Amino acid sequence: MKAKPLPVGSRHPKVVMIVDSDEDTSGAANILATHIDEYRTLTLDEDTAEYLNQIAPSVILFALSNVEKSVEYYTFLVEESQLNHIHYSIVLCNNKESSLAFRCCMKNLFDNYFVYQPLYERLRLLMVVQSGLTQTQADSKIQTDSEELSEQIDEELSALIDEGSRCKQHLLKKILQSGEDISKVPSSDLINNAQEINSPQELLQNITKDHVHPLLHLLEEDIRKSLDNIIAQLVSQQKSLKESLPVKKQKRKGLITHVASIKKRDNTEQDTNELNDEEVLPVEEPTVKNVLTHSILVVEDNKLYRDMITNVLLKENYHVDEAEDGLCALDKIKKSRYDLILMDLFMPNLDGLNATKKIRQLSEGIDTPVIALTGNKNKELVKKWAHYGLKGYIIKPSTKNEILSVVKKNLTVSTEHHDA
Amino acid sequence: MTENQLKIVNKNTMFELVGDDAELIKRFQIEFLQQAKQSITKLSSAYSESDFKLIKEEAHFLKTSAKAIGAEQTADYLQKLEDTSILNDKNKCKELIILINNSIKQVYGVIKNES
Repeated sequence: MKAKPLPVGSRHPKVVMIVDSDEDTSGAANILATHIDEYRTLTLDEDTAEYLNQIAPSVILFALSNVEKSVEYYTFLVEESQLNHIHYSIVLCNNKESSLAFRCCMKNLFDNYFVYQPLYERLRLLMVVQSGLTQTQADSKIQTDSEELSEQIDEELSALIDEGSRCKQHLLKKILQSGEDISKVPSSDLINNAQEINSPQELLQNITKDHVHPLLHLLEEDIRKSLDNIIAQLVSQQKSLKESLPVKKQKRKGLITHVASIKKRDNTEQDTNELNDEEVLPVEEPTVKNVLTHSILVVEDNKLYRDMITNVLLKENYHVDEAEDGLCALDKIKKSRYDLILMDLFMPNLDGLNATKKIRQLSEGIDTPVIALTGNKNKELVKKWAHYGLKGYIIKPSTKNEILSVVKKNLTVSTEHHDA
Repeated sequence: MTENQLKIVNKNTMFELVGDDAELIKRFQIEFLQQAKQSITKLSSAYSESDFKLIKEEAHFLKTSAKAIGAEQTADYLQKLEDTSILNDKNKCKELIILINNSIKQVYGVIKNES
């Protein structure tokens, strides 16, 4: 049997990676060799199949030059009965072949896949292998005490993770224990209990009395307390606003209270506009200050910028919800109603324009304004966005005044539209 | 604005966005530096893979943060990298990634001196 070089590996490996080019896979190989004692890289040759048969590794990573070759070789191993043991197979691929690799896994050919070109998710590679070791009940495991793996975790967070892990283990143990306890109850006891209940109606009545009613009571109590808190907060907000600002009385429907703004219009508003098929209109100084919470969804993949926008809105007492991409936004919109949506246009998974189109399809006549967050000032594009259902845009990064101008203006229009 | 007029960190940008909360501004600046470190790693990796689409996406992503914290010079280089990646010009991309890396170090210097 040939000794396989690159990098130094175990003689009886539990984890192996099969490669046909050392150069391309050296990054992944180094990670595995660093963190797994019983690991070995195998360069594919005529002896590899027999070697695999002898050592029976728990986890096998196929990192041949493309997915097709990995599929061919794995199929060959299985057909030739060279892998007659429980194992976990992982196909490694470049990012262009990830959908192919995914499909192979969905067809139950491989158990998992990992994109190693480019190699972004180093720890994810170890997690995938660890998952394989767990599933095959191999006694080997990933070394987690290296400096790389504990990087940037402070003591508090580390303690929180340990606590969470302990809780989960405790819960799983309890579930397991409950299962064992149930199985220990003699079946005759279960039959006797069942016989005491004469009919399904009686069973339902007992469940309602013993379980549903107490839960409903708790729920009612919870809602009552929440409402009390909300009302107390609103009354307090109204009192403080009355004391601090001159209130301009306006007849409005519902609970919305409007207060004349004392802010002067900022001169730098040329970047922040409302979409219009005609010339872009200057933004009017908003005359409405939010007192009771309007609900705004901020959809932005860049967490830093999302936090900034959220911060600006929260300081104005808006209720703010966040989504990191279009798909996440759609999910939230299905569950909650928003008065305004601020939407980044360039995002992974589902971009802003397509997300807006889908929101319009979902909303069934409810015309929640969607404002684009964009770095693009091209007016032709702006007109195109209007056709997608976007009501305005905010150039990134805008000032606080510019953001609030657009937000308040659109909330005002929206409120008036609903009041009409 | 010409390249020479661009500031390493324009303090007014953050001031106009989040106000005069120094602690909050510092938090966002630190978050930017952490984000920039990760992005530079991704850009380098995408460059060695000649993955121009990824270069464009990552440059666009970091540009948003750079603009938001007022790192004008960095944001300008990132915009140029975004434009260059569309042309699949690998040499120019390399040049810009190096410039971006240096400009982020300058941002770090400015932020460090402020604290």
